[in-house]
Amino acid sequence: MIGRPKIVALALALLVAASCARDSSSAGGSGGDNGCRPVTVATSPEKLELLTALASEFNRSDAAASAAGEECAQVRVARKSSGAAADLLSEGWPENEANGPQPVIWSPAGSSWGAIVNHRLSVQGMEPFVPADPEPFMLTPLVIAMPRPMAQALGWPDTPIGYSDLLALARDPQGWASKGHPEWGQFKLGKTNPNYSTSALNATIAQYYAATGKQGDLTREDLARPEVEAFNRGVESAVVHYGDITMTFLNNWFRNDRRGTALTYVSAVAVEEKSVIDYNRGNPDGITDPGEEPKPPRVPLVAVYPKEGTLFSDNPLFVLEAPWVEPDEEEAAEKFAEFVRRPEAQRRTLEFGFRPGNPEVSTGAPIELANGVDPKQPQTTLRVPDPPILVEIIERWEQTRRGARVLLVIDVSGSMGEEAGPGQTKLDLAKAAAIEALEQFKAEDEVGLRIFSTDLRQAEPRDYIDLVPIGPVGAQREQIAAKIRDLTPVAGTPLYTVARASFEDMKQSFDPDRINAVVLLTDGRNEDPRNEDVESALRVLRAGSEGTSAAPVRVFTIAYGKDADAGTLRRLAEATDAATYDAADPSTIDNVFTAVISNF
Amino acid sequence: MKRLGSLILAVVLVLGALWIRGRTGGGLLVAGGGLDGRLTCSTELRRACEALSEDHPRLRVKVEPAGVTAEAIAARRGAAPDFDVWLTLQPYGGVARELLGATTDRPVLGTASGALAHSRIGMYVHESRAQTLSTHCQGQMAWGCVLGAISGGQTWDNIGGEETWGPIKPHIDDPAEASALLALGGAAVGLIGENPDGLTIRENADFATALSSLKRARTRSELPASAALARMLAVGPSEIDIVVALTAERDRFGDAASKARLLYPAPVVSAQVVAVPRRNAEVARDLMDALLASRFRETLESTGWDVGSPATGTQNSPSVGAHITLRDMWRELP
Repeated sequence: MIGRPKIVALALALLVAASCARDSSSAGGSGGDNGCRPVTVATSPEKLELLTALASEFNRSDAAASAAGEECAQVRVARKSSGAAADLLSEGWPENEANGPQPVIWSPAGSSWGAIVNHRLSVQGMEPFVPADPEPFMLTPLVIAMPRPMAQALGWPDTPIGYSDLLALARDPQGWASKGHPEWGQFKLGKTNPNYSTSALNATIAQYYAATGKQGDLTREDLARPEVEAFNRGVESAVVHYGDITMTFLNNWFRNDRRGTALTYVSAVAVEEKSVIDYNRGNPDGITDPGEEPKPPRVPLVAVYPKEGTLFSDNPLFVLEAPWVEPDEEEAAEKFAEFVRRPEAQRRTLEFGFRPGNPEVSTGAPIELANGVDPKQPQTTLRVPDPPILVEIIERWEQTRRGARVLLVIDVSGSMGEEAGPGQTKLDLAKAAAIEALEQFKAEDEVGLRIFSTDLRQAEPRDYIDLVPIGPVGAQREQIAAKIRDLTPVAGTPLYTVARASFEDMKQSFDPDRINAVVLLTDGRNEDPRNEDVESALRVLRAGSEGTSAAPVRVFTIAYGKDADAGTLRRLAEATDAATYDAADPSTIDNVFTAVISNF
Repeated sequence: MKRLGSLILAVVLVLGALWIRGRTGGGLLVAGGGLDGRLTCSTELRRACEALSEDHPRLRVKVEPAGVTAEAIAARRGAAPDFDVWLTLQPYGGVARELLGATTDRPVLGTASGALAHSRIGMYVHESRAQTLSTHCQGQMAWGCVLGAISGGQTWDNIGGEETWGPIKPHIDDPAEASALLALGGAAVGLIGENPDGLTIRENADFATALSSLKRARTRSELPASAALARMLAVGPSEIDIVVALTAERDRFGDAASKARLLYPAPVVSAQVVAVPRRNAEVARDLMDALLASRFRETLESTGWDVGSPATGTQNSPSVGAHITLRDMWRELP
């Protein structure tokens, strides 16, 4: 028997339960793959951590509970550099393991990438699908990061510094001696590749403005003027190497700082303002690894805001109007974009060194002078050129960029014959990727091909063979490709011998007008009983890379497959202030090769 | 019987709970669905109209520049417009009638309401640069001085600012937006004198030069004024340092609005919100009546519009014909 009070109590309980049902269903949408509509965000790397945290909050919120029509939504954040995502979107984002799922939201570092994609789509006769003029999620200006003593030698903070000053210094045969510091050697510029990196794209645009003396309305005629080209060639001639991400420079710089050689590695790097803050906090790549205790550098960086003006990375959240985006996904994406623009979310951008995109949240710490940045700067912003001009700037950069001289060193040891996919060995995949990567070099670049495995021949050097000597790639691209196609797996992996010998050979034939580098791909560990001395190899590489008069040869390494000795490859790369690349999953080797070649 | 009564009460309570849940989840705030019909709003009224749309799901709201609506009305040559009520700012109600009059004798617009709200046209100058502009104009913020200062690629150091500030970077909407057209009207009165007609404006070479310089000098012209103002407040003065916009915009930004100083070049002009119904259509009349009887004025007020005090500066605007001339001149200028 149930008495009346009990029935009323039950009813009240049901009333409460029913009223709360909405909340619990929204909580249910917060977990993993729980039937909610997935909404993929492709974001540039610097805000991966922040957007992932905000996505997690959103997924737990009421806003997500019915974000996709009647369904709940689950936002998933995937990392993709701005330029790589722009390339994929221009091709309709072919969906595969390496590319990841087609995004509903795209957040490159700067909205200029959206204009580039739309332009490329239009050229192909397709409908543009990146919305124009999105609101900024968060902001950070492009700056020239310089070690404080170097900036001071140029008159900072009282004298405004610009690209024209850097060009003058780069062209001065006396280098830093002209500023009273012969111990710093020549002026060296660090700059990423504008095909992939927003800071490089912005820096290249800023260079064109500086070269023309304009602050807007760049024209094709401006770009083609001989003095403009000469200006840009001059700036590019000071570049130590390029690359897809600025973190490579910042990590190397920081490592050099620990060794006391920060002032001879590089003099200035075009980066986003937030990177200066990260660096000065002792966290050069902006990512705090578990257990990492950041220690500030011995020589801090300062942000120079170019006097000719600069550009902002505005980190838009483009809700794509692409053919693969369903209306429910679009609705959910708009809600997420709204969610991250709330003042409470915007305050978190400051923690990561960005300026909030929502004006309701004021810029504050850590954007302050004590961290090497100035919240009152920049005073002048340059206009992002129209898309056809942007595209032409990138195309022209391909010609004005510093030339490269690269030795491709490919492992043909027996393990490269292991299967890596249906009917394909690791070597097959690497060969295809290497041949495709050859297309990224300009005709005047010099490229050679070396293979290595133990006991390739009887006479010394027994462990490696130069299949194609270094020469202009325009004349021997097909020859290199043919040799790569013919490669077959042989024996063991003489890693230390080939790393050292390749480095020394490149140093001997060093060309001061080019970026000199070795690209070393291997899938294994050193398997050479005749040389097991990694420290000796590292000493040679390090000694040849330090000092103001060094002829720097960068050794970029690719750890290919899960058995590669990634730790040693990292050390070899770092000894020459280069970078190592992870291709543990052989199916990613295409993208990895592209990233490696972006250094040239 | 008592048990049955208790059970019925329990069922009613449960149903009540489910009803409450449905209501809060669905977002319906007005019983019965509220306003119905097609409402076209001018861009400056976006926030108020979006709030209306949220409260009245059956109301189909379109937001576009007043000039676009006016031209669409004229282009239909007497056919009924595609809205029941048009919420816009004067002078565009009058501009639409003039343009329509040139194509047909058939009136398609009903009588406009009186002014529902108003807002002055101002100039938001970034706080760090406002004093420089003010000093340059010796405290007399006349359109003549302001236009002279901001037009034609002037740099801040030319008017007493710092060299590093670079060029003056003003933003003004295309005059297809009512507030921008009103600003040009104020500028014309300021430079030429009271009540200039279209011919006088067109024949004044100094004014034409000033207008042309302003058009060339404006920056980020693809952004609407509200977005340009947001951008200036977020980014700082490096990209946009002056925005011509309604006072009503200030409300959106709370404390952040203090990063800009709102100046009113003389003569001050005000934008007035009016509702224009489609003529001879019951649904239009009903919507107009419902709109005016609803809490729309409160919505306008909550989005920054002034509904209390009388509008200032309405007498400073030139005629509808003069505004049409200004719109045409802007288009023709390089």
